[in-house]
This record gives sequence, structure tokens and C-alpha cells, in this order.
Amino acid sequence: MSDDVELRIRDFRDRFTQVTDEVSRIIVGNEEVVADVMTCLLVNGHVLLEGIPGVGKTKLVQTLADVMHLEFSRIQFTPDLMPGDIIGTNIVREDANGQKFFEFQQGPIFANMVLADEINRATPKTQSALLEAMQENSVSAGGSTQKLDQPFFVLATQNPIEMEGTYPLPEAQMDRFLFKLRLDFPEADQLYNIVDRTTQQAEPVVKRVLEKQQILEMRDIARSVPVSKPVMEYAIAVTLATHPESDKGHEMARKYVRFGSSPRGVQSLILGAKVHALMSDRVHVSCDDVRAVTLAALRHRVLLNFEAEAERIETDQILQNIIEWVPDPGE
Amino acid sequence: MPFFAPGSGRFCAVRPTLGYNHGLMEDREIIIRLLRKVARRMRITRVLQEIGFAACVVLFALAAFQLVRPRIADVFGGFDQSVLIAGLIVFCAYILYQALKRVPISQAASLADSRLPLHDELKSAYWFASHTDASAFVRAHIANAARTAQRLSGATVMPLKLPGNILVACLLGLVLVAAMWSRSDLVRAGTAPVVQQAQPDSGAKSARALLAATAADNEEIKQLDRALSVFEKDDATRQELREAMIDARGAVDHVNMRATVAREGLAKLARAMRGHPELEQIADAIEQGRTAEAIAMLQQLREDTSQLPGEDGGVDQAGVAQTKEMDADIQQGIAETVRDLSRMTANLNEETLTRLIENLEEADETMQMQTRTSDVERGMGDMEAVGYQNSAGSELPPGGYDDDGAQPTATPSPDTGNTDLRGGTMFRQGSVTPGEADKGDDGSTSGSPSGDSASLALEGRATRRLDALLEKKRVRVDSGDDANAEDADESAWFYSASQQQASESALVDVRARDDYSSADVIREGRTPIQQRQAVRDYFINVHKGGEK
Repeated sequence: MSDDVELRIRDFRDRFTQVTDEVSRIIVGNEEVVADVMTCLLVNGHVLLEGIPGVGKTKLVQTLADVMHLEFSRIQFTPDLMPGDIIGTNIVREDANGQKFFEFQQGPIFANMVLADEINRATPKTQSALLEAMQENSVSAGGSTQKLDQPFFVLATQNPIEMEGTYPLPEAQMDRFLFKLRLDFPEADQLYNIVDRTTQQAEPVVKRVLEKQQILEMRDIARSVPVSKPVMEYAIAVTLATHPESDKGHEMARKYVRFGSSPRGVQSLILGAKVHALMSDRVHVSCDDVRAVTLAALRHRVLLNFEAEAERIETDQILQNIIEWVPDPGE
Repeated sequence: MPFFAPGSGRFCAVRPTLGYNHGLMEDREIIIRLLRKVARRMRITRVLQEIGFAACVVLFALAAFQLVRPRIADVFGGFDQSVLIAGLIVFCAYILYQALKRVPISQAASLADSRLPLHDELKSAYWFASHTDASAFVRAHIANAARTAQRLSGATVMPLKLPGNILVACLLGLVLVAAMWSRSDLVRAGTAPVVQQAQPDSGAKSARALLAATAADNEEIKQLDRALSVFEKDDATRQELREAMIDARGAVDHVNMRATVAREGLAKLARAMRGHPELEQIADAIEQGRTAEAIAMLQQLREDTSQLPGEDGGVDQAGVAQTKEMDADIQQGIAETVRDLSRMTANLNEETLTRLIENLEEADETMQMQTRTSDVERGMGDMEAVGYQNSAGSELPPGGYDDDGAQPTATPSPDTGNTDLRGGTMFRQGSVTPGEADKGDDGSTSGSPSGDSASLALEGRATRRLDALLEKKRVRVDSGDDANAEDADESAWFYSASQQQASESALVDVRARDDYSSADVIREGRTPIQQRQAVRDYFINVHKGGEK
């Protein structure tokens, strides 16, 4: 490995590890989720976090924002939240001469890291305002377009229970998220650590270990990792296997899937695999890296049919079968 | 576009020097060299595996063919082995062609990655090295892969091992050898008729050869010859075959009779010779069946006797002349010789010894002829079975293959020289050595060929109990004391055939008719006579069982 590349990769890995180590001082367990959130941040993607109340979704995002020197804002989504409450609005101001003028008052979306808490509680109109900003990295308001500062990173949380009065995200909008991550209920020993840390006189304090510029550099490195055609073909094969109508579709996909993954799914696979390869001390992406991010990258892009719902088949089951079924290229 | 300069570890505005490209080329060569080695080894392994597989298939096919060959011959009337061999050759050629195909280097890279495991390092590096412009990360990746390739060898990635199917092929080879051995053993053990069916002429040829070795001027031989001619005909019907077989058995019976007579004569001759001490050993040899040895000893004795001048055995010369004329009949000849021997008072003369030798030679020839005719008959029996199987449109009924009409071969005893024990004819029909209580020419107590105690064959249907064959009856007289007296008197009772036996006999009589045909029987009575007989037997048995 050439010295420069080796150095850059080592820096990348060190910074990455520093962040996860700091986060783990506050967040007990869920190391994979923390790493996946970092991955999304480093490939310019957004994350949808799903978990029951109280497992630390919001705390995770807050901690991440504390660890990285980024501007953080939190939006609690409610049914009466309007798009203007997110992106901002023009307000009438008066200058020193008494002249009145409109001035754009930036909403909470103008931050580097945005926590969209319980995104499914807002109306679709409000949701789409956020999702448009996520996709375009810009906001249009009052006849002008405002560019969002980079890095721009949205973490949306969603509660899988208490679905009454909620507006589940449409499939097309779910597709905008790079990963969908699940925070599971902690184990007994993890619970002990959580209680121990949070019931003391003073909670642990994290250091800021990553600056905005460093994150942008890490993004460059992550995107520079080469992916050979055979590995890319493997990622495509995995994606096509989720399609029930494809001749390369998996048997379970044909039976239980209504719509397979979109092309964004392949992009997510490759981007996530790149970071995974770097964190595995490799300068190339392998099929193992693709496999490692498949669940996070595709689980919200595969829509199950009624039969799967009736038989309680989950997307992860189907994806796991697909991973085991699709052969490595060249075999 | 910035270019990566490995020496400084920085990006530069100009293309890197030749030295750096040279390093990249070297890395590429290292990777490809290893992958070529791996590909070569994969090819060798594949060839070995395919050879093992082909050997398994070929040996299995041959072994299976050896085992099912007789069945194939039964069903298809013969199967050309060359077709099988040609098919196997084509199969092997195809397999070899497939196995010798070049292994792609990308496939070798995949194998190396999966075996070690290298996380697709070589596969990716090979692809980058042959497809795209090298960015800094790609160069770094290729350099990493080259370092990995340098550490590896072809044997590490793909060690050459003997495939397991070669071992399986060896086992199948053993099975094939065992199959060939067992098949030849089966043929030796008695499946010869099955093979003979494919070549029905071989039995006729061997029978013909046996007949040719026997004197052709004999009437029985001529009769056998005629019968054999029928068997040699391709268009012989079953009826003709059956008739020819009956003729042949008749001829063989005659020969057996003569042989039995000759043996009895020899036994008497041996008894007579015991009166002369110098003939004691010769008598032993005759009694023990060593006729050729006895002849040799007699010839030696005759030579010794001829060297003694003017000795006369005191035999009546007129009697000698008389026996010479009657030499044609072996029984009479031996009887005369026996008489001469018993009349002899002094040493044996040359002429008597000559006659003894001639009698022995004639008896020996008769016994040899018996052996050959028995062999011929046995061969004809086999050919008869083959002919029945091969001839279509038989006029025999479907149930006409039982042993009801089979005649037992005569005197099946090692003592008589007839060792034909086919079909379980384990009984003795003729006497060989007379017993102590024998009188005259009535044979031994074990029975004579004329049949004073001829038993039925145990073959075919099981031998019936005597009470099923015979019934004890008496002529009923008026009641009274006379009747009781007659009941007590055993002589008033007699045995007659039971109903079952009578019906059996009737069936045999009907089937023995020339114009008997089961088809006609069915047409007339709508029920085959054999079925009617079976029903009748059933009710008779029920009736008998009820009485018991």
C-alpha cells in the first residue's frame, strides 16, 4: 500500500474509532448501530432509526452531535408541525429607517446534524419538506433557494408501536434514507451499565473529537475506495434477488415481496461497503463488506406483501436468505 | 487530473515516472503469475476428477452390463457390446474435452480468495489490473494484492490431491472383476443352458461329436443319430422334438440294458475267475470296475502263458470253437467263458485268455458306449428345453412343461457308469452287483432293469402317499359267518387304484393321445381338462380328509 493512501486510511480509521469510543461512553451497547450511523454520515447518507421508546435513539444522536463539532438541532415531529416550522419562514423585519422587509428566518433544518424525532407523527406534507431537503441538500422558501451547510446529516427516529394517529412514511420517502437501523432492547448487563451511568450525580461527558472539515475529508476517502466489477455485480445480484418479478429473484422474494429494492439500494450497498472495507483495514471492497451492510441498506426498501404479513415474515429473514443464496462472483 | 507519485507519497500534476509504472506492472505480473499457477493446478485437478468420474461411469456401466447381460439377452435376444463400448468412448471423449478446457484466471482468483480467505483481494486486483486506469487507491490495492501473491504459492492455494472418485473407480474396478468372475462361475455352475439358448447349435455339435466317436453300425446309435438329426433341424416342431426325444430315450434304454447285462456278466466272470489263484487280482479289478487294468493284466498273463511250451489247460476244444461262433452276443460269450473257466482243471491256456480279453474289451466298449449315449441323451434333453423355449407357436398347452412325462434315466449309479442324476432321479433301477440271496438271473434284491421293483421317480409332483394311490378293497359277500370269516382272511382283500389315482391315469392317457390339444379341450368343454382334474382332485382330497 502506498504510504499516502495508507496514512489516509489509518487516519480515517482512527477518527472513526475515536468517535465510536466516545459515543460508547454514553451509549451502552449498540456498537454496530453507532458504526452504521457513522457510516451514513461519512457517505453523505441519512439514517432512519427505529426502536421502541426509551432505548436511546435520541440520546445516540445527541451524543454523536456532541462528539463531532457539528451544529445540532432537534425537531420533535407532531401532527400539527408545519413545513415552515422545519425549513423556516419569511418574517417581516424593520430596518433602522423604519422600512419593512422580509427576512428568511432559518428553521431547525439548517444544521449539520438534524434529529427528526418521531418523524411518523408529522403529516406527509411536513415529512416531504424534510425529505426534499435531505435529497436536494437545499431548501426553497420565499422564492429563494437556501443551500444547506455540509455535512448535512439527518437522523430520523420512528416508533414501531403506537401507530394510531401516525403517518407512516411512504415507500418513496423511506428510500431516501441510506440505512434503516434498529435499536434493540438492551441485554441485562447493558441495562445495568445504563442505569449505573445515568443515575450518578454526574453523567459522563464526551469530548469533541471530530471537526467538520475532518468529516468532509473522511467522506472523500470513503468515496475513493475502489470497487471492482465482480463485487459490484454481486451487489447488483443481491438487489435483483429482492425483486419478485426478476428471473434472478429469490424464491422467498417471489413469494413474500411486493416491490424489491430500488437502484438506490445498490448505491447504499456499495457506499456502505466502502466504509466497512476501510474499517476492516482494506483498501478494496469485498463481497463480505456488501453482505455486512445488506440488512441495513435494504430492509426499508423491500416491501412485503400481504402473505408475508400474514405469515409474519420479516424483511430481514428474506434478506438473510438472499445473502446466503447469492453466490460470490466467479464461483 | 492529479497523479499519484509513490516515491513521495503525494499527488502530482504530471504523470508518474516509468519507475512507478514499472512497479505497477511488476505487481500485476506477480498477481497474474500466481493466478496462472493456480489456474493450471485447477485444470489438473479438474482433469483428475473428470477422469475419476469417467472411470467410475465406465466401470459401473461395464460391471452392470456384465451382471445384466444374461437378462438383456433374454429380453432383446442379444446386445452388441460394441455399442456400449462406443458409447462409453464418446462419453469419455466428451468428459476429457470438457476437463481440458482452460480455466479462466478470474476463476482462479475467486478460488484463491475463497480458500485462504482474502476477501476478494486477488479477484479485485486482477480486475483492476486488467480493466481500469489505476487511481491511488487502486494502485495501493494492487500493491497489497501483489504482496499477498508473493507470500502464496500455487500449492498453498490449490494443493494437488488424488480425487476421491479415483478411489471409487478402483472399487468399481474390483466390482467389475468380481462381476466377471461371478458370471463365469454362474455359467460353470449351470447357467449354461441360458447361454446355450443364444447358441443352440453348440449342444447339437457336441452331441454329434459324441456320436461320431461311437460305432456307427450299432442300431441304437443309428436311432440316436436320427433323433439328433431332428434336433439339428431349425424348423423342428415341438411334437417332432418330443418324438425324437422318446426315440432317443428308447435307444439309450437299450444301450443301458446291454451295459447292465455286460456288467452282470462281468460280475459272474469275476466270480468264476476267483477259482483260479492267478486270476484273483484280475477278478478284483473287474469287480471294482477297473476293466482296462484287468485287460492289461490278462494280456500280460497271456504273454507269460505263450512262453510256456506245450501246456494245455485241459479245456474242451470243441467247446472253445463253439463259443467263438457265439461271440456276437456278449451275454452268451461271457457265459461260455465262465463255463470254460469252471471246467478248467489245469493252468490257463492262451486261447482262453484271449477270449477273456475279448469278452472284457467288448464289455468295456459296451459300457463306454453307454456313457457316451447317456451324454448324448443329456445334451438332447438340454436342446429339447432350448427348442421349447425358442420355438414359437407351440402346440403344447401352457402347462405342458411339467415333469409328468419325463422318463427317468436308466441306472443312475456310479457303479453302473451312468452318473446322470438330473432332476433328482435318486433311485436305482438296475442292479450292478448281485446280492448274496440272488437266484439265477433275476437280478439283485434292489431291483432289476426289467422292473420287478422299479420305483417311481421322486421328481415332478411330490410322491403321493400309498393310501392316496391305492385303496384296499374286497369283493363283498353275503352277510353271516362266511362274511366275517372272509373279512378276517387277508387274501380276500386286494388293492386297486384309488379314485384319485384313476383320474390321474385317465388324464395321462388323454394327454398321451396324438390328437390331444388343450385348445380343443377348451373349445369342447369350455374348461381345460387340467382344471377339471384339479377340481376333481380337490373334492377327492376333501372327501378323503373327511373320512380321516
